[in-house]
Amino acid sequence: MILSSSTSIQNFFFAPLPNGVIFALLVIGVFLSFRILDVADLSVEGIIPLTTVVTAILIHQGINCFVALLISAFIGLATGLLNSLLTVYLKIPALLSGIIMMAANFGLSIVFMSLNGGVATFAMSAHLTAFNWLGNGLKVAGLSSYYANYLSYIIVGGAILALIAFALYFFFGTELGMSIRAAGKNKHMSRANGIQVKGMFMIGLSISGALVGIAGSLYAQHNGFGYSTDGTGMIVVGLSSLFLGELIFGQKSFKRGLLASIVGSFLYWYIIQVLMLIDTNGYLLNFYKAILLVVVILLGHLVKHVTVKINNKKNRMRMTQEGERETIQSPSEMLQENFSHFVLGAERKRS
Amino acid sequence: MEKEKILELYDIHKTFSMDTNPLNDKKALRGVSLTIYEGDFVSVIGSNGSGKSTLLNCIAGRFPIEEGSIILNGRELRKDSEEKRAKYIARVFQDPLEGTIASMSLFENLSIASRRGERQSPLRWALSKKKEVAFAELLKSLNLGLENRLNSPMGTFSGGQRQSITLLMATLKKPELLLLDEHTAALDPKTARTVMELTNQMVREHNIPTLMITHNMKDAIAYGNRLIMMNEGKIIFEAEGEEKKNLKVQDLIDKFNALGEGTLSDSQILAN
Amino acid sequence: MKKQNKIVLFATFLLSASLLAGCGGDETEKTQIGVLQFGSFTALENVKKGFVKTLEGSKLADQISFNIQNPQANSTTNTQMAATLAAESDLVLGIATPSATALKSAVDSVGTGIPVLFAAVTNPIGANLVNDLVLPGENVTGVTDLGPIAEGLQLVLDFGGVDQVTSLFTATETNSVYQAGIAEAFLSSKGVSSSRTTITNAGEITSAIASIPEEVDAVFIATDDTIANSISLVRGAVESLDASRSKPLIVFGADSGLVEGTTFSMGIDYEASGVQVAKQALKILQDGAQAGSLSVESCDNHTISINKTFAEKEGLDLPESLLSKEGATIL
Repeated sequence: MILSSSTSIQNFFFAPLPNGVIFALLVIGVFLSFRILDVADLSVEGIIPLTTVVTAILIHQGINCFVALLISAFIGLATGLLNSLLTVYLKIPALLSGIIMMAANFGLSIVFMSLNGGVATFAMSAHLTAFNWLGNGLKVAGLSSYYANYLSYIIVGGAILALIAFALYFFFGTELGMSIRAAGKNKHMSRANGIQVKGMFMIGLSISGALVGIAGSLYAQHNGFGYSTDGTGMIVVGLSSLFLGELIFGQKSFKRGLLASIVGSFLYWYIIQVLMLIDTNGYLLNFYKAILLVVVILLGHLVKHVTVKINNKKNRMRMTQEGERETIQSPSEMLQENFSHFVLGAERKRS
Repeated sequence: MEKEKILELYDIHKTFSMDTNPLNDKKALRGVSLTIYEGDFVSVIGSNGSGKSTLLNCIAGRFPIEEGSIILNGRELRKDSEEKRAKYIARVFQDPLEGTIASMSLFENLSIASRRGERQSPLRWALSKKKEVAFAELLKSLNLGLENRLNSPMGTFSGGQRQSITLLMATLKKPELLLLDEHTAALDPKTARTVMELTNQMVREHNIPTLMITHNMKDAIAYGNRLIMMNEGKIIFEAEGEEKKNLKVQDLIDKFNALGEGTLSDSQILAN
Repeated sequence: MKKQNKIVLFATFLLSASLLAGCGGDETEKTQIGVLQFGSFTALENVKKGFVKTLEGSKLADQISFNIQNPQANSTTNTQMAATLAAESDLVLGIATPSATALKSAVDSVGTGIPVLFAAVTNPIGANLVNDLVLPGENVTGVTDLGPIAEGLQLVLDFGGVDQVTSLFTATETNSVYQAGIAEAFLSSKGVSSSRTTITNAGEITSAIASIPEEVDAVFIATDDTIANSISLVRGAVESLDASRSKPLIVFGADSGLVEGTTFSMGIDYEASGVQVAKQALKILQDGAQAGSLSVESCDNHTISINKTFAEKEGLDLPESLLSKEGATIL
């Protein structure tokens, strides 16, 4: 515990903000693939390094940061689309096709880095990023550079996040959006109602990929560089954040899922910040992360237990015992369910 | 006066390959021909493995067929996908979990069904106040007390309620053909009776040509105007009109027994 | 109700955590030195050791306190630690390129303008840390870990009959790619052809070495963390490859940490480079020098290790120029 001054407390609140806001987009992407489409999409770990590397190189070449952002979104979208094509048409289980796309994107990021002389960096002071154009402006307006910096993450990051979250909320409320949700949850019912399950899967995974691509690009713009190793552990970040958020918001509706993704992302990075205070050497950090996941899952059980009790009380007044059916899943149940899904993925895809 | 033909099946063959050895192929349908006319409510019975479920799935498009043709109101459906056929054909499954989406609300489920087989717009809202009022009205007519629960997730409903709702969903947009795949088999006897009554009422009310598979021979005799019995991928017995009405459960069991031992499962005998 | 309770609970948790953080005592008057060490690789540990030891042995020892953080090679943790260190320190040291660049970006963003030092960085210009090695300007300077690659390769050529050299490195490691480029430039000036043998993770080392063709006479291994961690794999792979070759491979490593799997290695002394960067820190803290006015230094303390047992086992005759090197450690 070296931190002491008032700046420590201030920092405690500000330092996790950039990661929180940037990776909220990744968590939403994971939410779409994992919860809505019911697949664990590991291509996330390839999209992040490819987009960080591409963004850093593009900005270094003098390309506008928002153009780099769009290109990254397109890379993510293309990855998601290819990934879904592998699953839908070549019948490769989703877990495996995700790994294939991860390897392909990771490989491409290495190629781009090598072509660029083994580096992918740009000088923050010489180039505008999605964040510092506003930060610079705020500094000129007289704000201290410390606040100007973090305020730019809150404003720009918050705006991008809000825009995307609202767009998704509305899109998934349209007929097409609802069909995507339906196709992910129940293929038989969807087909019986004329929903093109394959097409919906392709659209859904593409949107998920695009979101992850944007997160990768913003991450590079936050760092000032990209690395081909940036993607390591990203799926864990995404899932842990999602589970954390779902502890609060549950997973009853799409809106709650979006909120869970966003709030969960911030929660995750604040918890990491606490863990960093405890363990500055980082030796135990990964171990703590594992414990964190266990605690989240246990808490999930607890929340489920309590909600079942409350619901039972409510329902008893309203309906017969026969009508009761619990839909709230705890994270551990979800894990189990999805584990069998991984294993049986090939079998399921066939139908 | 000649009745209008709705569904025409000509010599349908369906084989499932178990492995690469053609000797191990399982012939599920061996030349099924059947015509369903306007106003027909056909019940289908048969032992396990007789091919009755396969027949339904072939009509619906879940399984492609090798030979034969499926003509619905003059359209050849053989090459159409399951999704495309959904525009004309509605289905209710045996498993109450299969016909609806548990995690989505009753309103959302109904809304999906109301646009069965139509283009899904990325711009138009799926849920509207107008729809909500219309659906509530319809639910009221079911007398199941569901009209106030439009926003509850499907998962909170009982099996019987879900099958009733699935029936309603199947008829929201009137289909040219309704396929019922043992849709009461997973319910307790009392609920099954209620759902069967509701089925009969809806089919008659909307005059929907219907093909219903059932395990329950009493139901097969009591409901509908035609009955067919299948065995080893073929239709082996047909009855309609007066002949069907006068059938007894024992007659059907005798017919089964005449086919040889072990073709009639215990559950079917117990069901009667 | 339920939801509110949960939010209140969490807010309480955050608040208590931050209060806990605030209970550290009155260290505010001391000069805070933030160190971000990217991982626990031996070379990086040695830099830290040299840096901390030198500062703790200096006159400033009582007036400074260290905040040493290690993200264990995790990119996101690295970024977040950099943000904290940049805001709370009076001087920061980034050990290895990812940590140094993250610190520079964080200091730029937060705008405190504190001095940023770097060590264990091979190519500070390529990494956009500085624009000029002699007069870096701004607030960044440090010590590079670029070793005597040309000198080492000359020793390889002294073995005689060397016509082609391949560089073995991890494609994801920026420093290794850069060093391979330096090696290739030197080799082509000597009329020796060169090639690249790249891997992306340690699991590929064995098969990558097994695929080295007969016409390659020597292997150059850069200061590569992935390979350094699995150097015994390199040795095993070279031994089995040599069994099928007419002439054994000469293996030269650019870091003494690689000696186990190489014929000989020659690199900088990382602890000495830690001492060097600590001296730069002292110039800034004691003498009030501007970081940008201090030239980027290279480390002149080289260590040479000769793996004679390995060489003899493979049937290599070591040249006199190598054996007569001053201060060489012979295994």
